[in-house]
Parts: sequence; structure tokens; C-alpha cells
Amino acid sequence: MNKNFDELKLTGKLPTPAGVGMQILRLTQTDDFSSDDIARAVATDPALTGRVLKMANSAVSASIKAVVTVQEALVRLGVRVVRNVALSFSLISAHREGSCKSFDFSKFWSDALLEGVAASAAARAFRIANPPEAYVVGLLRGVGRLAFACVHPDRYASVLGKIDRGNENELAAAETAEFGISHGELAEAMLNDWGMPPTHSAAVAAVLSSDRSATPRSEATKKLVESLRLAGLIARVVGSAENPNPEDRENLDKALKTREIAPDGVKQLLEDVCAEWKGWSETLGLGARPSTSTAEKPAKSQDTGSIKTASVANATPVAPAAAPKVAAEPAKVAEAARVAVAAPAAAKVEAAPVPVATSRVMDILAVDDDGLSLTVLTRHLESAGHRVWSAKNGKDALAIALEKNPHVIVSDWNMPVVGGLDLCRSLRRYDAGRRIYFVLLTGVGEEDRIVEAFDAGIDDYIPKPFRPRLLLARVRAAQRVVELQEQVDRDRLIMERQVAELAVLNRRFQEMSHTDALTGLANRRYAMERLHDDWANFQRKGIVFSVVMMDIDHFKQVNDQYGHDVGDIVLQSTANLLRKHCREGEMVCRLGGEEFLVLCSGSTADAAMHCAERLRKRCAETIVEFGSFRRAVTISLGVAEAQASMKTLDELLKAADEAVYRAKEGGRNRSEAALPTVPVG
Amino acid sequence: MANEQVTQSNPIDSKVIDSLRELGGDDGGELLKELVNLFLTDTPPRLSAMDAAEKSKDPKALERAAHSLKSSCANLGAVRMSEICKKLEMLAKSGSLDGAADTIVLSLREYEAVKSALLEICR
Repeated sequence: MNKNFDELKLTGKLPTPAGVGMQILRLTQTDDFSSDDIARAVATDPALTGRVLKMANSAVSASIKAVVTVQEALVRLGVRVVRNVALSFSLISAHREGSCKSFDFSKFWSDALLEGVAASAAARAFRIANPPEAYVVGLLRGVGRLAFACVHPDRYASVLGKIDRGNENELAAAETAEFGISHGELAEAMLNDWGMPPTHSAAVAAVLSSDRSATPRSEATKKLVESLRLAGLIARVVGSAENPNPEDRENLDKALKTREIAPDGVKQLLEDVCAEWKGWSETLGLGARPSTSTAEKPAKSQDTGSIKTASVANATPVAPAAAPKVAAEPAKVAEAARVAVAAPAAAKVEAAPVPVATSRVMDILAVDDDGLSLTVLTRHLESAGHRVWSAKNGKDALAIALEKNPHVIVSDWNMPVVGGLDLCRSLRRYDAGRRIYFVLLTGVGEEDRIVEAFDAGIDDYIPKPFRPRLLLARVRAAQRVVELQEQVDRDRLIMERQVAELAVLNRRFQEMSHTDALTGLANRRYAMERLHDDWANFQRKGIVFSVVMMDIDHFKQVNDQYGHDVGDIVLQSTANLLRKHCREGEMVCRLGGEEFLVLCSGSTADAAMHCAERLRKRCAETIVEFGSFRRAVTISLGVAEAQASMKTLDELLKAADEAVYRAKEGGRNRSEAALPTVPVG
Repeated sequence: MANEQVTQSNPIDSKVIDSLRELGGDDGGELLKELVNLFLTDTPPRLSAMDAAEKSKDPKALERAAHSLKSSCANLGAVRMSEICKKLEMLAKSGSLDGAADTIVLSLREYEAVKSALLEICR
């Protein structure tokens, strides 16, 4: 299993938490991180901070004072939980889209959210497990599927195409057949790789395992699995609210029979899950599927299609007004759910006016504290076809920038609270922020401070009041830089993939290599290939050949007495002698250990015996010297010629081997011919 | 300068207004109306902030208010008013308030002219 995981990981395309998530991951893999470190890391990402606080507040009953700082959240939830929550969310931010055709990424996360929310609700309602932990496990239980879709988009699409939707066992079998690992096993390996608690990964593996009898080891895992199983049933009911299947409800009721719950408690639970699902979907900017309460009519649910680019802080997503149009298409009412999910993507394309031929749509964040200037700026950028967000101060701008990842920011310099330069400085501290092309609007009297602005990290500036044509020309310049950057990214991705492929190839080449690393002679693999060739030629065309097999005398003693270093020297010098004194048509190989073989193509046993004697004599008269070791290294040899009476190549090798044995028995440092050889003629 | 001659007769640069109409596209009038409304809502508080800053001898506050107003004015083509704000901003930036009171009175008078010109344009 691990081998298959490693191969997937080598591609560099496995989903990993982004930015701050990765930082937190690294932080917590050291032994001595403090909760302060975590708090600081979380706080650098405003969007993430909001989510962690939301989680902390939803985990406790409403009567307790609301959590407002990351530090408080850490106290209330515990460091581990905050860490896991942070990881999960950064994972979502980084993997909203992908190229696998049969895999709906938005729907995946929407479903995952529902599983998470349901697991957390079940854990809380029946006091089974720690709700935030259940949430994380629910959210990530399907991450193996996401991984396949990211690493092997095409192959996974064909796997998905082959099986019935919703049949877990069939899916796991198909995945294992294609990739050597099922998504459950992959999810377990990934969670382990991220340093998630073993209870979490074990729970994910157990709930996805077709073998229900496999009992999870620890009590904590058992409880998480219990939450997940209940969550699965709850999610089925809530997820299909617009098209309810009575069976789902019956299954849930059956599972809840043994639990203490009031008659209308189930209804309440379902409604809570539904509301929370919707809330989280909005927070995360995922188009929630029909987030009706279970009581609501389906018709009402379709307007959720308009959940588009969810706004953070005072974000004003000016552009995507087109989203509802998509959801409202009459012919697709039956498919409302899918359309609603697709809406955010569609909005992206439809919202902007048709762009000018050569320029493409860029995501731009406009920042100015003066409403009028901001409106004018925004309109100019939109008129060129770009998608524009706007913010009235640096603080909001930072939040939007980190959430939306625009290509370009056009910002005023002088603003209350956080000004343009501070905004730029803050952005440059993040990986994501470093890539944003930053254009500063400068007022009269600020030009002489422009050096300071460049030092703060801006890419360009435009004096105010700006000329529209100049503004758009600068944005086009920004576009060139952005495109170059993207090209670099693509190249790096390709390079990374090539490096991974190279590593795999290298390994294979090493295996396939024909050379013995220690002596530089041909190795056993090559010897066998050549022997098979000669054997085939002998059988088909009657071309004779012989083998000389040999063994270094008392090699074990050398090793025992002088150590392996001297042993290696002995092997090398013997190998050199053999190579030096072999003639044309004689190829020497190291079979392994102190065993060598000379393949004498076209030679009879007689000629091979000459070869054997030549080699034996040369070895016997050469002193090998190394440290305290100083003597001749002798060899014992056995010669055998291929015979028509032999059925296999093995028989020939056995005959040679047997001759070596007799040479040793006969006192070593001698050559023997195999017994049943044809009389020398 | 030629620029000043134009602004003496009309508080609003009609070229700027035309470009804003154009920017609005099909409903160019709508964008212009929106911008004028924004201006008429935002400006009085800024003018009174400038006045209050001068009275309380707070150059920082004056600089800030004048700066914001300057941008707004420039965007709507109120060139002369923008110049007055710029003068105030520069003055406040140097830490002095000498003559600020007179300039603020000038800006109030100019605002009235700009306001009626804008309302005329939007009619």
C-alpha cells in the first residue's frame, strides 16, 4: 500500500493544504511548537481566522460567551483540533477546481462539508465523540477520491465511468485494479502523511472499508467511526431533501432506535445540520447545493444557485451578477442541484463583458477609501472586461486579496487605518500575496516618496488623477507579467513531474542495469540473457558454446579474517585479472558473491578448458596486496560444453557447477571438465 | 494657463463629464447620476470636517479631509475645486494653518457652484 502511495506522492500532484495550512503542518511536525506559534500562523490569514472562530463558536453551546480571538479558540478547542481544522480549510481553498471530467470538484466539497457537519452534529447530539474532530474526519473521508482526480484526471474519469454511482465496494475494487490502492487506503495514507492523529486516519479507513467486521483498534477510533456512519445516513437524508427517498429516512430511524432522542429530535437534528451546512457553504464560498430545510419545498431551494463569490468583510463582488440566470434556466429545473453547484464557475465566464480580442479577463482588486474614486476606478477596469472586486480600506483589501487571489491590485496610497504601502507590505509576507501585481495610485506630492513605495514591494504606480488609457495600459503590462509568472509556474510543474518520472526511471534503470556495481563486470542478469541467447542459437543452429564457472578459493576465510573491505578488494582484483586475460569470444560476468562465469561463445569444452587454465594460472601467480593481506588469490574452475542431450540451459550450468565442486574437492586451484562431455576430438 | 481660463467660466470640465457618460455605456446617464449622488452625499461632511479641523487647529485632520475631497472633485471634473483642496492639503501637510480659513470659505463657495452645475448636467 505504501509503495503505491509513494508513487502517487512522487507525481507532486497529490492535494496538499495550501499556504498557511502548509506552514501550520510544518510547525506541528516539530516537537516543541507552542500554541502561540499556531495562533500566530492562523492569524496571518484573515479568512482562516474567521473560519476557526466560527468553528470554535459552533462547538460550544450558545449560552457561553462568544470566542473572538484565535487564542481563545485554541483554549476552547485545543491546539490539535485548531490545527486540523486549519489544515482542512486550506485544503479546500487550494482544490476547488480540477481537470477530471467525471469528477465534480464543487460537488465533492459540498458533499464533504455535509458529511463533516453531519458527523459533528451526530457526535454532539449523542455525545459520541469530540464534535470538531468528527467534523474534520467527515470532511476528509473522501479525500482519496479527490487525490485520484488530481493526480490521474483521465484515468480516474474512466474508472468512474465504469462503475455504478454510490457503489463503494465496486469503486474500491476498480480503483485498486487501476492504481493498486483504493481511495480509502489512500485517504488513510494521506492523513498519516499530514501528521493527522492515527485515530483520524484509522477511522477514515475503517468507515470506507468494505469489511464491516474489521474492528478498529482504539476506542477513540471506534467513536469516530460511529459518528461517521451516522453522518453518512444523516447526509443522505439532508442531501436529497428535494427528492426524498423514504428508505434513507427509514435507515436513519433504524440506526437511531437505540439512541436516546425525542420524537421530534430527529427532525430538529436534520434541520440543524441543514442550516449549518448552508452556513458553512457560504463561509467557504462553495455553492451549497439546495440547502433547503427538510421542511421547505424544493422550488424555494433553487435560488441558492445565486450563492456565488461569497463576500468577505466589505467585499463588493461587482461583477458576477449573471449567476442567477444560469440557475433559472427552465429546462434544467430537474437538475437544479447540479446547476447550483456549477453556478460559481459559470458566473466567472458570464459576468464580464466580452473582452477585447488580445486581452484576457483578469481578476483585479480596486482599493480606495473615497467612494466616488473607487466607483470610477472600478468602472474603468470593468469596461476593459476585467472582473473587479473593491474594498474601501487596506484591511478589507487584505482579506479579499487572500481569499480571492486576484491577479492585480490597484490601490490608493493614502487611506485611513491600513494604507496602500502597509497593504502591500502585508501581502508580500504571504506566498499567495507575493505573486499579486501591485499598482499604487499616487497623489500630488507623493512622487518623491515613490522609492519608499517600491521598497515596500509595489510593481508599478500611476499618478492621480489617472488617465483611463494609461490605467488600462498599465493593467495590460501587468497582464504580461502575470502570464510570464504563470508560464514559470507551468514549467515548474512540468519539471517537477519530469523529476518524479526520472526518479522512477532511474530506479528501473538501476534494476535493469547490466553492470555489477562492485567489479564493473557484467552482472548475473546480463549473463543470463546472453546464456539464453547462446542456448537458443545452439538448439536452433547447433552453434556450440561452453561455460567456465569459477569460485574464489577460501573466500569466506578472507572475509572473516580480514573483513569485508579486503574481501571487496579481492573480488575487484580477481575481476580485473579475469577481464584482462579473457580473449575475444569470452565474456566474464560476476554471478554473485565470489562466483564468476566466463561465457565462451562458439567454443568447445576443449577450447574453454584452455581459457580456464589460462585464467587459473594468471590468478595463481598474481599477488594481491592490501594492508596486511598479501598473497595470491586462487580460483577453482569447472568447464562444461552445451550438449544435445541436455534439455535445458540449467543442466549445462549444473554440469559446470558440479565440475567446480570436484575442482574444490581435488584440492582447489585447478580446473575440471564436466563429466558427461563428448570425447575430445 | 489655458486650463485656468476654462475653469473660470465653468466649474466643471465637460470633457470629464463626457468621458464618464461614455464609461457608463448604454446607461451612461445612470453611472453619472450615481457618481453625482455620491459626491453630493460625501462632500458636505468633508467640508464641515475641514472647517472643524481648522477651528480646532488640527492640520492632520484637515490634510486628510482635503485629500479625499480632492480625489472626488478631480474624478468629477471639478477642476478648480480640486485645486483648492490641493492647496489646503499642501498647506496642512506643511503643518501650517495660515490662510486656511479663507481657502475653506473659497471651497464652500466653489462647492455651491459645482453643485448647481452638476445638478444642471444631470437634469
